[in-house]
Amino acid sequence: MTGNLYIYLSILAMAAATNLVRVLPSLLLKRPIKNQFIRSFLYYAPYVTLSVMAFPSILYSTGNFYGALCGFICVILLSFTKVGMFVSTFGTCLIVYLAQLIF
Amino acid sequence: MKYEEDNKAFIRGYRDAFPIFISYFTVSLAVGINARNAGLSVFQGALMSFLNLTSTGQAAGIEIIREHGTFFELALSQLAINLRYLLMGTALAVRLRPGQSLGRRLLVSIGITDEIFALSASVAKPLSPLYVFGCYCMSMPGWVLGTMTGSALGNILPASVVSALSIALYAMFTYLVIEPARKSKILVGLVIISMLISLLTDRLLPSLSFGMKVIILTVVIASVASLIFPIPEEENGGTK
Repeated sequence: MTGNLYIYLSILAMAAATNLVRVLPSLLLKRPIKNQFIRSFLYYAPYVTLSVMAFPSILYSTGNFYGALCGFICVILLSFTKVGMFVSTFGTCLIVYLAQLIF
Repeated sequence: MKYEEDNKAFIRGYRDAFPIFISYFTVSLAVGINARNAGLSVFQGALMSFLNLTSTGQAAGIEIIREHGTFFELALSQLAINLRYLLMGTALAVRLRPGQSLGRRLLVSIGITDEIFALSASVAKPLSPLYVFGCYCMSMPGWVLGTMTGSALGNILPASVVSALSIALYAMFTYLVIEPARKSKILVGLVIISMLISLLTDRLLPSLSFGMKVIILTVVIASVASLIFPIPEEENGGTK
């Protein structure tokens, strides 16, 4: 198989799998869910998913552990204020940039 | 009336997703550089980003292409890494007003990524499919343009800036989980426990892939939380 054909087919194989898991709930889930366990599960699941994705990966995301640790503390503090997501996220980047000048 | 409502939801989603556009652009610079190193052209990298729209999935996929892995391996890696989209899609589906057409439900499906999901799950119910589609229309071009830029120009930014920007996505996850959770003791506890178990899992099972870790911990921790603290009828019905 030539290099280009392999790459295009690879991209399609990835896209098929990724988009399959995206559309399945829309295709299968037609009625509201009444079961209390499933409803509770769906309520809690996003918090767990995001927490697990964020930590501890955030500490290794920049290649500078102490800079990233400052960023993690910074975004937690900002989450308790009313500044919103955009300021919290990029304020954190700025703090990390400055922290990296020190560490 | 319906049209106007859809219009408003779309514009709100489009505007709310601007931080995602910026962070996608910066994150996908790295994806583009990786794609080029694995032998993909600028067009091929952009096509992959357009069709897949998944950072961890593409990082793994590019690695497998570089090693000339099989299509089966590629598909399986995407299923494992992105199985969480199944949970996210289900969680969003129950937030919609019941009786949406298939076409409108699919508007939600194509936009499911970690970031768009986090944003969509945080708006008041009922969720409009057009809100999610608005988020998608703002975010996706950032992902594709960043990939193209990274692939075409390589490392244009100084390393210190790239390094500081690479925390943006994780900072956003942290913000999106803590901002709504801080009002509930149960949720704060859940977030802290999830993070600690995540850290512990990395230490004890370093060979477990990121995708599998996210799936397994989500299923286990959210199940336990649901058994101990089942939520009352009115709080998360999705039935109205």
